[in-house]
Amino acid sequence: MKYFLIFLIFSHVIVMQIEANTTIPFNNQKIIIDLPKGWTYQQNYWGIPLAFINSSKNIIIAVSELAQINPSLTETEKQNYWADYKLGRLAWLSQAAGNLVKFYELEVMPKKQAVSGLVFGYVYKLGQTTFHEKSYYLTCKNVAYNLKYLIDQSQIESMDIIDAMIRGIGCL
Amino acid sequence: MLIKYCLGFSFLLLINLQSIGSDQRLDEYWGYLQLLEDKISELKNNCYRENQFLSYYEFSSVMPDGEKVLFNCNLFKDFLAKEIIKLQADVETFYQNAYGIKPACSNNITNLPIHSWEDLGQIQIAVKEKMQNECVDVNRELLPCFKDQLCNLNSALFSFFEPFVNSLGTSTTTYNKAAHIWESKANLSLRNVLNEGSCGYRVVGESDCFTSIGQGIYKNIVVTYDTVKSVGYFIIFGEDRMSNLLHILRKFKNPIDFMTSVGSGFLKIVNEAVNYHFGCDQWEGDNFFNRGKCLKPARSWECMNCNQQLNVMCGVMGFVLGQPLSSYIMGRISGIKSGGVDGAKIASSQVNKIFEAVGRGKEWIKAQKSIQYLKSKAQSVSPTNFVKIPTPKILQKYQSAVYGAFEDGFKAGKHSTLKLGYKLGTQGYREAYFLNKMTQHRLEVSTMGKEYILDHYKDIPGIDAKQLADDYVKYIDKIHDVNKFLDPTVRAGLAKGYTKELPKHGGIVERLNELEKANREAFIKSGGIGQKHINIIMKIEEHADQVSRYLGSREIMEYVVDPSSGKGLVQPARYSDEFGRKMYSPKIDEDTFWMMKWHNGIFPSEVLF
Repeated sequence: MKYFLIFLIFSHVIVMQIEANTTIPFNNQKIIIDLPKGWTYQQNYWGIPLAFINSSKNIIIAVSELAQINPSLTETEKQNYWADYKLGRLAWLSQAAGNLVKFYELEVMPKKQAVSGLVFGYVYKLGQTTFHEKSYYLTCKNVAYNLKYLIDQSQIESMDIIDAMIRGIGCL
Repeated sequence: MLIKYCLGFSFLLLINLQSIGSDQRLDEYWGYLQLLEDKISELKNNCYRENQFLSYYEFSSVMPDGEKVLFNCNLFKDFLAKEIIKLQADVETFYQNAYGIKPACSNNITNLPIHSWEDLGQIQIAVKEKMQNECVDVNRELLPCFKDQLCNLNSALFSFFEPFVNSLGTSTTTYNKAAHIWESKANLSLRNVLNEGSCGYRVVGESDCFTSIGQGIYKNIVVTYDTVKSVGYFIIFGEDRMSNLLHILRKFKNPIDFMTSVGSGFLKIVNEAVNYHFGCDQWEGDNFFNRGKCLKPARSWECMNCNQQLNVMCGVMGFVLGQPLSSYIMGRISGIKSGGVDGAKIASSQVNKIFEAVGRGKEWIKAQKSIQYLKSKAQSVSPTNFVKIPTPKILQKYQSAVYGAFEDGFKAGKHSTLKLGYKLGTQGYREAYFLNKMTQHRLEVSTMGKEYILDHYKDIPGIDAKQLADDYVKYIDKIHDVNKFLDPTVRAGLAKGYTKELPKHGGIVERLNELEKANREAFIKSGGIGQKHINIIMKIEEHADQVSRYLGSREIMEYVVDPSSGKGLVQPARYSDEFGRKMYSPKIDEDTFWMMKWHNGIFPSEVLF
C-alpha cells in the first residue's frame, strides 16, 4: 500500500509534468515550456512571432527568434549590448515622455542551464503608472531568442512566476 | 509668314473668346493672348527690316512693370510661336470641356510615382498644368472627399490585417474571442471594398499610397521583421517596437482600433497641412498656425478629383512616413502627449521645407503664364549666351530649398537631406554638406552640454555656471569645428569619402575622430581653460557626444518605389552612422537621459525608430 501510494504520487507528478510541459514547434526548433495555470500560447499574435499570454492578467511574453549569438561573448561585447540597451530604452522613454526609475542590474545567465544569455530590464513611469520591462536574450541549444514582457506595478507579484517560466525553457 | 499666321490665329481666337462670355479661365487666356499680341507687334517692328528677319538682332522692350529687358529676335520668335501653339491647344481643350465633350476634371493623373522632391515638384506642375487647362467646375468644396480618404486608409489597413484576423479565428483564448468580433467587422469592411461605389472602393492605380500609409502604421506597430535579426540589431531597433506593441496590447483590447484611430488622426493632420500648402494660393495670414481665411483658392486643387488630391497628398506623405508618424504613434501609446505629433511638427522642419520647395514650384508655374516668365526667358537670351535654351529654374530652386533645409539642418529631419545631398550634390555641394553635418553635430553637442551645465551647475558652490558654460562652448568649438581645424585639402578628401561611402563611411569617421583627439590634446596642453573646468567639460562632452551620435543612428521607415513594378513600398531603412557610432563608453545615467529629453524637446522631428 505504501509503495502503491508512492507510485501513485510519483506517477501523478509525472502526469502533471507531462501536462504542464508544452512543446511548441517554432521556426528552427521546438521550445519546451512549463506553462502555469492561466497561460496559453499563440504564434503570430498581432505580429509577435510567438506569444505566451495570460489573458486574465493581461500579460504577454513576446518571443522573437534572432540570429545566433556568438557563443564566446566577451565581457566587452556584453557591456556593449548592455550600453546599447540602456541608451535605447532611455531614448524610447524620452520619446514617450516617461521617467526612469531604475535599470535592473545586468544579469548573465551561465551556460550550465538549458538556456543561457543576458537579462536586461528597467523600471519607468508613464504618467502615474510604473512599468517593469524585462528583456531576455537567450541561447537555447544553438538558436537565440528574445523574450520580452511588460507589467505594471500592480502585477509585480507575477514577476517571479514569469521569470521562472522563462528560465525553465528548454529546447528540442 | 509667322506674323501673318499669328495675327490670323489670334484674330480667330479673339472672336471665339468673345463669343463665350466671361469666365475667370477665359480672362486668363484673354490676358495672355493680348500680351502675346503685343509682343508679336513688337517683334514685327523690331526684327523685320525690308522684309528681312534679323535673326540675331537684339532689341529692348519695356515690360508692364517698367523694367527694360533685352530680347533676341530669333529665340523670341520661336518662343512666341511655341506659346501660341500651346495657347491654341489650351483653348481647344477648354472648348471641349466647356461644351461637355469630356466631363470636367475627367483625366485622372494616375500612377504618380514619387521618388524625390523633384518628382513631387514635377507632379505639382503636371497637375497644375493639366487642371489649369481642364478645370471647369470650380465650385467644389476644398477637400470634399475627406471621408473617402478615411475609407481608403481603413480599407488598406484592413487588407493588412486580414491574415492576422484569419489566424486568430482558429484560436480559443479570450483575446481571440474579442478578435472574432473584429474578424466579422473586418470581413464586412473587406466585402465593402470589393463593391464599386462603396466606401473604400479603389480603381487600380489610384490613391495607392494608402496602402503605403497602412504599411507605415502597420510596420511601426506590428513589429516583426521578415528576416531574422542579430541581437545587436534587435537591441537597438526591435526593443522599441516590441515595447510599443506590448503597450498597445495592454491598453487596447484590439490593435485594429488603435491603428485605425492612429491612421485617421494622422491623416487629419496631414490633410490640414496639405490643405494649407496646396489648397489655397493666398491666405490671409502668412503661416500655418495663423493663416486666417483663404483669399484665393487654388483652382487646380479644387477641381482635382479625390484620387488626384490623394495622390498629391501621398507624395507629401511619402516623405513624412516614419518620422512624424512614428512619433505620433508613440504619443498615442504613452498617452502623455495628446496625439504626439501635431500640426506644429508637420508644419515645421523638413516637411515645411518640402512644402516651401513645392511652393516655389507653384510660383514658377504661375510665372510661366505671365510676364515674369517672358522676362526670365528674355534675360537668359543674352548676346553671349543666346543659343542656350533657357531652362526652368525649378531644380535649382529645389536645390536651394534643400540647402536651406540643412542650413538649419540640425533642427530638421536628417534622412531626406542626407540622401538628397548625396544625390544632387556636386563636389562643392558635398563638401558643404559634409561641413554642415559636422556643424550639426558640433552644435548639438555644444548646445546640449551648455544647457546641461546651466541647469545642473547653477547652484553648485565654487562654480560659476555661466563661466563654465562659456568655457564648454569655447572648448567644443575648438575641438569639433572641422571648418577651422582641418586643412582644406584634408577636408575635401573627407567630404568626398563621406558622401561616397554612405552609409558605410566608417573610415572617414575614424579619421575624423583621430583628428579631433589630437586637437583635444593640443588644446588641453595649451592651458586655455583651468584644469578644474576641463575635467567637468570633458565628462559632459562625452555624454553629449554619445547622445548626439546615438540619436543619429536609428531605424526609420522609408517610402520607396520599386522601379520594376512602379509600386510604392514602405521599408525599414537604417539611418545610421551619421556622425559615426559611439566612441566612448561613458556611464549611462540620469545625465544621459536629461540630454536625450532635452534633445527631443529641441529637435522634435527626430524620432527614435
